[in-house]
Amino acid sequence: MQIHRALLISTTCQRLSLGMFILCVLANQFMGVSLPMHIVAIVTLILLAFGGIASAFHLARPQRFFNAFSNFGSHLTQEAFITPFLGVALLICCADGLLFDLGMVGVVIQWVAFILAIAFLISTGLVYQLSSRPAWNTPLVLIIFLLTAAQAGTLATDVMILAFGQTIPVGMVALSIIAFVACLIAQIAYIQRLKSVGYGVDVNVTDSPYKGTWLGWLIFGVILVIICLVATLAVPFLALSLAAVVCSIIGIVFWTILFYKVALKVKMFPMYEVDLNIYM
Amino acid sequence: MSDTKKNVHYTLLIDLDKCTGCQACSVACKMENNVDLGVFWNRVKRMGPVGQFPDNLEMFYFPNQCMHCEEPTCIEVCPTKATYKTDTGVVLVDADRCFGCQYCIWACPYDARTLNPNTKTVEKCIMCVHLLEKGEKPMCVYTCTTQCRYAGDINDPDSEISQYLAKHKDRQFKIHPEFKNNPSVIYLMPRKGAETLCKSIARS
Repeated sequence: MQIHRALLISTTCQRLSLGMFILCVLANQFMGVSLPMHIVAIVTLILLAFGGIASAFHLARPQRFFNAFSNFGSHLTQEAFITPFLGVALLICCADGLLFDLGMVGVVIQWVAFILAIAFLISTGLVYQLSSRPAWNTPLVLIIFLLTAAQAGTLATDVMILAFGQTIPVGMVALSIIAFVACLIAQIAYIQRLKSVGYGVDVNVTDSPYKGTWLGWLIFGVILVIICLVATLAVPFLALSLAAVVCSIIGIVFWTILFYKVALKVKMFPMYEVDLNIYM
Repeated sequence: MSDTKKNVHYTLLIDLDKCTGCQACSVACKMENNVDLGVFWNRVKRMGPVGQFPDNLEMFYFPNQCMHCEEPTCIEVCPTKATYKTDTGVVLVDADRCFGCQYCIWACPYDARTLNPNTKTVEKCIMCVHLLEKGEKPMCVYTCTTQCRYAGDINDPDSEISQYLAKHKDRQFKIHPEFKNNPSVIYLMPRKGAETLCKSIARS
């Protein structure tokens, strides 16, 4: 087993793009901002396509990609099945306001894409919630996947709002803070859990070989995001908001590497006292 | 398919009391199935040593391969349906369907699968089903220097495997039942020096 860089790229792009699209729809509908959704959809599609292409590279035989639609019980098939529908909905959102004006139908399509984006994120999160990987055998896996999407999504939505010369509404400020704090709490809970999972998984993230990755996440995903977020709220400059998104993305990458690394540490067949799992 | 064939359930039985860790089964498996370098369908792991010498020291060898589970997670997660189970209970991979996503490798709790870097598909133990169907033994069973391996139809009370199991039923256990895969491979616990280790990996 190995850590696939292609999956790092694809899951990060997916969380950023779909998180942003979902939060932009909510901001437009309930928070009094008017973001051009065709631009949001274009950015979302570009990021998703980039992630999708990267994802194909982790397949040993990408030319057989269409076999992926065979088993609807598999979360990978569910992901593959949602992709074309989500792609078409986002394409219509791109064209609406750019090539034609669908009016209320356009809003309905945005909501369809909104639901498909959530379904897509859930199916990807569930891919990793595997009982066979003790470090991943917890609902925290899906929760953190969705919360990282929400965190990056709220920050990217702040960028969009500022980029189009609007003021970040109070509701969006609250959502940005809530998403960040909730994500941080879930991630701390996950790190705590790793200390005593059993099956040889007794990971202290401050020890080698996890320390570097953990520090990367702490610096970029927590400290720098807090600084940039607070600065953006105090002085709403686009550059600060953009810096918050960049730090959040780097933080997600570090977190995902840590997430893969801990899944590799497992001893189903104990060799030493530390690997014993006698109280299951 | 005849009714007789329908009831056939091929499986393996491994008596851990006899295994000396010689790895002859691993070599025989590679030779019979032309398994590539870096790819393993069958491995013998060392479990332990744990505990204190002389009275509480535990260690034994553990031949590990696909458990040909009754409810395999690999089949559940495979997006291409490349992994499937035959009517005789053997879990196989269709190399023409597999696209090498390796999700099954992550999903298998028994570390039984490898991505072949040459064929770019996932491979694992096939229980030498080509030999079993001819009434012969899998090569690991045939080669085992201590006769710790038995294979055959577990539903046939007259088969060698069923008869050996009947004699040693008190020592049988299945590996990691908590994953609810219901592995079909049966292990017999070593008679001595394995209590803690076996408690760690199984329940009888």
